Amino acid sequence: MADRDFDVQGFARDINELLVLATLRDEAKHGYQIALDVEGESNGLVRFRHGTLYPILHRLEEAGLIRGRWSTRGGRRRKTYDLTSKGRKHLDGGTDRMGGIVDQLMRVLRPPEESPA
Amino acid sequence: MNEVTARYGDFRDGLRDVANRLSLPLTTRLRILRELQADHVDTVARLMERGIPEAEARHRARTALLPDGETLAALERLHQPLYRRLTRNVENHRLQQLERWALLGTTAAVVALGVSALLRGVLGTLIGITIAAQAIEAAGNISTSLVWGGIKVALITSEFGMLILVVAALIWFGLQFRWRMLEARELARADPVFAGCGDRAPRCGGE
Repeated sequence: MADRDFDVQGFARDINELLVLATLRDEAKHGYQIALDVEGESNGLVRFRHGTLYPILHRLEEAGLIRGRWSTRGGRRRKTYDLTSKGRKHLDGGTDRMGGIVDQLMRVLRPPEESPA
Repeated sequence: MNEVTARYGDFRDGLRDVANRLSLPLTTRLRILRELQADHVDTVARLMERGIPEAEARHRARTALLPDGETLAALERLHQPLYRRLTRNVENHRLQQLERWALLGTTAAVVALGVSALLRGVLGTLIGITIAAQAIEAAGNISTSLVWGGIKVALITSEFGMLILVVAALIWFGLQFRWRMLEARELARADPVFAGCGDRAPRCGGE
């Protein structure tokens, strides 16, 4: 049995949060750059539209997993986010947990391999 | 209105719409709007740097960044103030009634405070002048400046009392305004005919 109950509704939210955290692993980025990176790295599979990224960013910021800072670059002011140490731990743990869930789901979805005669 | 604005709509209009639809404290709303605005400017510039025409860049940025109804609701849930979080389960109508009672109590307390401050101030002045008059009577012939010096000190209590009354009156006006707003909202809830009423007039929104 899984160490944590599988919540279908929370699954999508967890994936979105982990994707955002993963794009911030190496450098600080601003809102739309995060969206573009997620879209690019998932080959267009995941798209944040209609500002859906902002509730995720603000929730992660409130939880202390990312830190938002206003900066100026090329004369343009923007709010960039970077990963906190708490966020990095959360990302590592979340990635392992997500991997386990996906493995179990695939076990259900794939037909059982026929044993050799 | 230029061609781009005419075709795709103005981002500022979208922001204005977001500002109107978000029922959050002003500072929180401004924080969200500032971030959206900054991201929009940056996104349009980045897309244009990639060779995307301005009109298309603006359209893409607008679609990607302006929150839809569901996202606005999520932002509201996330940023709602402590007062709203605590009263989340209390029925809205009940909450308004409680607010009206609290408002009534606060108004009465403010009026009582202001009036009592003035009365105490005047009383302080009268006692001060009485004591000064007794001292002058006992001393006999004294200089005028000494008399006025005493009266000046005695008047300080009245001045402070008046000042507190003025502050209380300003607060009272603010509370009255809020009271009328809640009253109008309750009227509108009871009967749509009263929608738009700002005072006790019985049928201001009617025929």
